[in-house]
Order: sequence, then structure tokens, then C-alpha cells
Amino acid sequence: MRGADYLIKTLKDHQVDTVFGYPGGAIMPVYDALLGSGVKHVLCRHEQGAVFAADGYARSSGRLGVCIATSGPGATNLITGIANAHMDSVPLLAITGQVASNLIGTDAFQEIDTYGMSLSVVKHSYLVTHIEELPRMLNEAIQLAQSGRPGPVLIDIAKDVQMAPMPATTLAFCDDLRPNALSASSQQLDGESLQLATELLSTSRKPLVYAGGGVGLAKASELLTSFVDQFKVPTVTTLKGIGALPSTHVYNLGMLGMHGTKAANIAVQECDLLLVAGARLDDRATGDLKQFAPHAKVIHIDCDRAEISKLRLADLSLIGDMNSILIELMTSLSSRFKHQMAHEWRYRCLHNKKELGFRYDAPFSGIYAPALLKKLSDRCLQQQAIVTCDVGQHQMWVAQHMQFNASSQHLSSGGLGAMGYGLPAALGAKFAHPDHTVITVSGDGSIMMNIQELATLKRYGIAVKILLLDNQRLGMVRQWQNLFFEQRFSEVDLSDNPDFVEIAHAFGVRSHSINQSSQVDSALDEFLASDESYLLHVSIDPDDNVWPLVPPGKSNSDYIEDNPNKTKAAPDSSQHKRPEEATQ
Amino acid sequence: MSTSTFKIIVRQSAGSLERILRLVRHRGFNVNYCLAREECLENGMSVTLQLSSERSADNLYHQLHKLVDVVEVHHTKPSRLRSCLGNE
Repeated sequence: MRGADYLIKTLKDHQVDTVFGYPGGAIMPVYDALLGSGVKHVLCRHEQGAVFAADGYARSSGRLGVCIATSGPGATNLITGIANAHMDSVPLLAITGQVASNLIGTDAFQEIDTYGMSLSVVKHSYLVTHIEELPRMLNEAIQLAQSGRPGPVLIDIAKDVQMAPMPATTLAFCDDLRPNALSASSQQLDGESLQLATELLSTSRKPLVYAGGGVGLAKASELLTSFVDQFKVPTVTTLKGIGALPSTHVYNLGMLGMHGTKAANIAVQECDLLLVAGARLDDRATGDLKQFAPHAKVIHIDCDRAEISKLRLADLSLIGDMNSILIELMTSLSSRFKHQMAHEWRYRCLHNKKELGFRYDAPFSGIYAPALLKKLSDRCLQQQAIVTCDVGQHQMWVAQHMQFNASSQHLSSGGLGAMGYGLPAALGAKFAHPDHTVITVSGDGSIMMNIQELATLKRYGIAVKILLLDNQRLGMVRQWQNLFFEQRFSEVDLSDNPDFVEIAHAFGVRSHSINQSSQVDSALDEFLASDESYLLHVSIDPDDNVWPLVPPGKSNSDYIEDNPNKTKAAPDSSQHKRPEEATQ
Repeated sequence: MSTSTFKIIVRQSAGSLERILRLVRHRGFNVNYCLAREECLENGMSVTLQLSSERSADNLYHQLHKLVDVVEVHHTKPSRLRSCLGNE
């Protein structure tokens, strides 16, 4: 058995049955070992597509995502996707080939210091230069990616190691120095903290749950829902927390933060107790920290001690497994909680949710993207559809206007904000859930970043539905230039976009284009009914922006709801013209 | 600007010192003093760092703890650092 064979065998031993990758010189022994191994390899058309696909596979399934690339450019192309998994705590194993160990450090062909390059974007990484090290490093890598707070682990394997015969005996773990992250957790929930949390929750008149991505990662959504049901605590979610409590739940006030709902942001600013569950209080969620939740004591639940009081001082922390903590908290609280304590608060939150909700009655014949997304959501919510996004205005519209029953149904590049994520992530999610409807919502800027993955859809004959919202602009950048840069529009005009319908046809993907609101219903019917990949191209107005918006660095109380500059003549208002036409 | 001292026991592997120094830099700390040497533990290394920053050393303590190769982190006060360094 060669090192490469051992690698594939070990993946199978860990129930990995699907991997995403792209071959090249320094990883050829692994690709040789893949043949006939029973592990399904999905050939993407770019390494970034492969790593995003592995990410989508992992996020939608909770299983380990695995991607493979060669040395040099293969490895550098993975880095964005690895960073994306790092920012959003996704269990990912990135396997890269490296030049032979005697060539490392000689500037050999396709040699790059992959290990060194990885340090800032991984949970951990390994460089294997001796075959004896491979079993320990590989098994550690697989376990680390999925343990505690999940994250990406990279293992860079020299080509001679891949080809070397496995020795009969190999280096074992040195127990004294076994990584802390892999040691059995003996952490017991601190009884005193639990009592204090119970006291704070039972005496609060304005309690609020702040649910983040950690809830879904811990598979604690059902418990959180039970908690909210039992104690009737209004709840806001972060972008990654969407679905941690079903969007349709009466006490779900929606997403908070820069593009959060008014009801959610008002509740955060007014609450007297914030129960933060699996969130890291990101700047896009909190706005100006000094003015964030100014009246609230904070109880912070997280498995990662380093997130406690990192940005906002926690009055109390409960560190450990989210499920155990919620169970203990519910048990402790059930005999002491008095619903009438927060009765007025609940009424106010629900009143705000109803009165300050989104409106969809745009009085024009063009297509209003939020209304279209709401229609799409209403039609596919019961199908347990998985929706992936790219990054920009459409991403925020999905977060605002679509509804999800689980966080694994909403895949969005939250921390890194990586355009190009949506299509390959949808591809990965479809491989994990072949029987689910998988939709990617993209923009005309984002789709071009990994459009080559249309070929992967065609190659494997899988059905991913692509909703392309085309405003012929880099919409979010344009919105900011409009609001914060005196309408000086710099490099945001994409009106010379290619014909996306023709592009889809060239890749063998069905497609259709619409530009009138009267076409929406029938187009969505056809879109959802298609049993093969389908691109629905939707022309929208470049002046439609994402509201509300909290300007960067401002308090979440200071949201704006409309464009204060809209009465001025916008220099690029000649929408849907090519640049040369616009200047004539 | 305040100073802090950390003594870190780390599983010795290629890049383990580099990881620590990268983290320290990225989290906003300057390195005023660094001593790394083999520890008596098998395959272990001790790293002593004197750092300065306007940021919280408590946060850095927990972030250092998260590094997979790090086995122990001890955070000592500056006054104790000086006596320790005097004995080195």
C-alpha cells in the first residue's frame, strides 16, 4: 500500500464517500489511488470551485467536506475557499500535493510554500515529508476539522510520500502532547454560572435571544426552538443564524445588523438581557459596539472560549456544548420563569414585527427582486429547498425575504463574503442532498467569478437551479458609492455583461430570461418544475437598493430606509446600455 | 500600551513557533522579547514572549490556547517577567 492508497483508505474509514478536486502533477499518485476506490471524485473546473463545493457539501450535510488540488497554483487557488471555511467554521479537509520532499525549498516547478501560506486561514495544517508521519497527521487532520468549533484543516503531502510504501509500524500519538482540541472534554457546566443565568433570565423584563451560526453547527436548533417556545423569548438571528429558529416562528424577529429588520434592530437596542447563542458579535451585526444593546446584560453561550468578551464584554458566559447548556438552562429555568414578567416586551416586539415588516407593493412594471424572492420562498419553503447565495445585494435580499426551516438550508458566505461562492456551493449541496431542490441566487457580478462550474453541473447531470438577478452593476458597491462617496460611481458598471442565456446554452444548461413583473409567476413555475439545471435570468432595476441599511460604524438605531440622494441625477442612470452608448 | 508575558508549551512541529508569532502579530501585539527552546517533555518546546499592545492580553491568552499545537499557556504579570528574565 502506498501513501496515496492509505490516504484514500483512511477517507473511506471516516465515511468520506465524495470529494471535490482538480488533478495536477504533484497530486497524481492520489488520483491514481482514487481510480476504482469507491470514493466519488467530482471534477470541478477550478480549484476554487472545488473547495466551495466541498464547503457547500459540508454546510448542508454537517459532514466533512473534502477537496483535493495539486501543488503551486492548485494550492493557491484553494486559499480563498479555505479562508471562507475558516471564517464560517466549516468542517473541511483540504488535501494538496507537494513537490517531492528533496525539492521543497528549491523553487521547483509548481512549488509554493503551501503550508506557510495556509497558516492564517486554517484551524490547523500539516506538511507530510515522511511516510511514517502520514497516519498520525491524516487522522488528526480529519478529527480536528470536525471537533469543537469546526474549521478547515490542510494537509500538504510531498509527492514522494504519496508514492512511498507504508511501513509496517508508524509513529503513534504522543499522548502527553496530543492536541488539546482532541482531548476528551472534561468541561462541566459551572453550576454557579447556570444559577446566575437562570436568575437573570427569570427576572428580565426584556429578554432577547441572539442566535448565531453556532446553533446550527452544534445541531442545537431543535433545542433552541424548544427554549423559545417554552419561555416565549423574542429572537433575532445573525446572517449565519438564519434558520437556527425557523423563519416562520412567531418569535423570530428576523436578522439583525446592517441590513437587519427594523423589528430585530429595535429589539436589540431596547432589550435588558441578551442571550447570545453561538455568535461572535461580528461588526456587520452589531454596528457601533459602543452603542450596541446599550441597556442589556449579556449572557454568552459558545463552545469557543476565545469568543467570550472578544468584542462585547459578557456579564456571564456559559462555555461548552450548546445542547447540554440549553438543556440545563431549560431545566433550571422552568420552575422559576414567570411569563408575565416580559409580557409587555413580547407584545412590543411582535407589534414591531407586524407593523415594521417589509412591503412588496412596488408600483412599477419591472421586477422587484425582494418580491420575487418572497414568491420563490413561499413556493419552495415546504420542499426543504437548500438556497445558496453569492455576495452582494442579492445575498442580503435572500437573507431578508426568504424563509428557512434550518440553518443548513441557507448557505451564505458570511464572514469572508466571497463572491463566487454560490454556484459551486450549490453543486456541493446537491451532491450531499440529491433529492432536495437546490437553488443558487446570484448576481451578475458574482456569477462570473465561478461560472465555469456550469460545466460541472452538465458533466454530472445534476439539477441546480440558478436565479440570476442582473442589475448590470456591482450593486452593493454602487449602493455604497451612492450613499457614502457622493455618487462617484467607480468601476461598478457591468452593462457590457455577456448574454447569460447564451452562456447557459453554451454549457448545455436550460435558461430563460424575464424583465417584467407579469412574467414572474410562470417563470418561477417553470424554474421550480425543471428536473435539470436551469438558469433563470432576471433583469432588475439598478436603482433598487437594500433597505434598511445601517451605515458602517453607526449604531443599529441609525438605520436609513431610502436613498437620500435619489432626487439627484445619477451619473450612471442610463441603465441597460453599454458604456459606449451611455456616453453618447 | 501595556506589556504582558506569556510562557507557552507547544508541541514541536515545523511551523509551531511561526504560528504563535503570526497570531501575536495579527491580533495586534508587538514582540519585545522572544525565547524558544526545547522543553524536557518529549517533542515539546517552551516559548517565552514579552509583548506590548493596547489590546486585551486576556483575549490573546484564549486565542493562543486555541492553537492546536499549544499545550499550555501561562500569562504572567510584567513585574514577574523581569525577575524571570533575570534568571534566564
